[in-house]
Amino acid sequence: MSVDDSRVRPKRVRGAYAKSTRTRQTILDSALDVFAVSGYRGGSLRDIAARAGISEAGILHHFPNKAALLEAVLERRDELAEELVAGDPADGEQTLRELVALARYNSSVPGVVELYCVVASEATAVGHPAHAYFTRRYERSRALIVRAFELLAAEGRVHPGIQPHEAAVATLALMDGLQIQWLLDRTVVDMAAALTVHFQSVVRDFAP
Amino acid sequence: VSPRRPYANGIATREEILAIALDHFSRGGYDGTSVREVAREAGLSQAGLLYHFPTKEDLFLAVLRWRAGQDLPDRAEPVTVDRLVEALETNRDEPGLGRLYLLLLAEGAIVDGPLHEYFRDRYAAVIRGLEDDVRRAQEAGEVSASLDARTVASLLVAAADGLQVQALLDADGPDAAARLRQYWVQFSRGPAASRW
Repeated sequence: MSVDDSRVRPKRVRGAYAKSTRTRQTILDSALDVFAVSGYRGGSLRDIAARAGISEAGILHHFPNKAALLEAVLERRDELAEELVAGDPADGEQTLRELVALARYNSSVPGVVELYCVVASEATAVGHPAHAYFTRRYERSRALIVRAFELLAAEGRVHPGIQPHEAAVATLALMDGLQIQWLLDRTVVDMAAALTVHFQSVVRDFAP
Repeated sequence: VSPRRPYANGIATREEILAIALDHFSRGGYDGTSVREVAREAGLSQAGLLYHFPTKEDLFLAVLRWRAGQDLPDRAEPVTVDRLVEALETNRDEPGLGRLYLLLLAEGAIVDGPLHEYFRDRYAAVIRGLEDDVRRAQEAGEVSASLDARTVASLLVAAADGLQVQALLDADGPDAAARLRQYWVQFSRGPAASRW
């Protein structure tokens, strides 16, 4: 029956699609785990495949090359990060606190931070496949932080002379730069503490 | 007319090889640079070049060290906020060089990477120098004495690196050098602190 056909077929497609999406997600989560433990250099396709419980060919079916896989891994990392920074968007201070929490979380996954730093620097080349992704990513993050500072400025909490947009650009820059310093020597840099000092220099009485 | 081959009659000095390699790396990046091309331009065989620099990575590292030496002619001279801003101005005017630096830095951040020790030591020295500069500004009453000088130094270097990434990702993006200067003003008190 045509009615049945029309109901069954999309369902089957949806089922296959859902399975494919799940597999994709499993690969990305496995890749994140592998990079977190083994670092950017140590994370091999073979390890990721073993952890995900599928073949290397299976991974290459979903991600045609390493660059595509790395970009998707970072997108997945962003999704997870957005869950960490998903509090009340009308509470500027809370958003900043969540960014501090994100910095603290990053300290627990050095290999993922390595991956991010390498791909972000490579993506600065205009022709790089992840260039557009990173540009959009910065715009999105910047908008989130600008809003937080604007809300705080409206409450009179931002120190005089500081503009929300400029402070947001600086914040993003610091978060990137602190990751590099932390990777260089984890014994001397505390990313969350340094970010807190930065927020206190922008926002009056910022409490982490 | 033909590619420049100033060393065709003799062997390029080490410094000349490094200058040629820097030119290649800043235009083509690490992957886009051919050791054979560098050798050819230097009037050397590939084996001849590899005698001086056994791997491409060695050559890359040597270029970086040499370049860092050029940036800081007097190694005893400490890094100050002004010097940091000047370095960003240089990278802005030579975007290929700025990108090369960021690529190298990211390589350096990889814990088991070949550049890790170099960058770890370099950053320690740079931050130490800035820390002294911050302290000097604190003693002069330009920066709040309640701030930890080392943390401020670390934040300045972090801002410098991160601003360069943003500037390269977005052609209309921030002028990293100007923004870094503004960022420094944020820590200052008094009249200078009023404009960002």
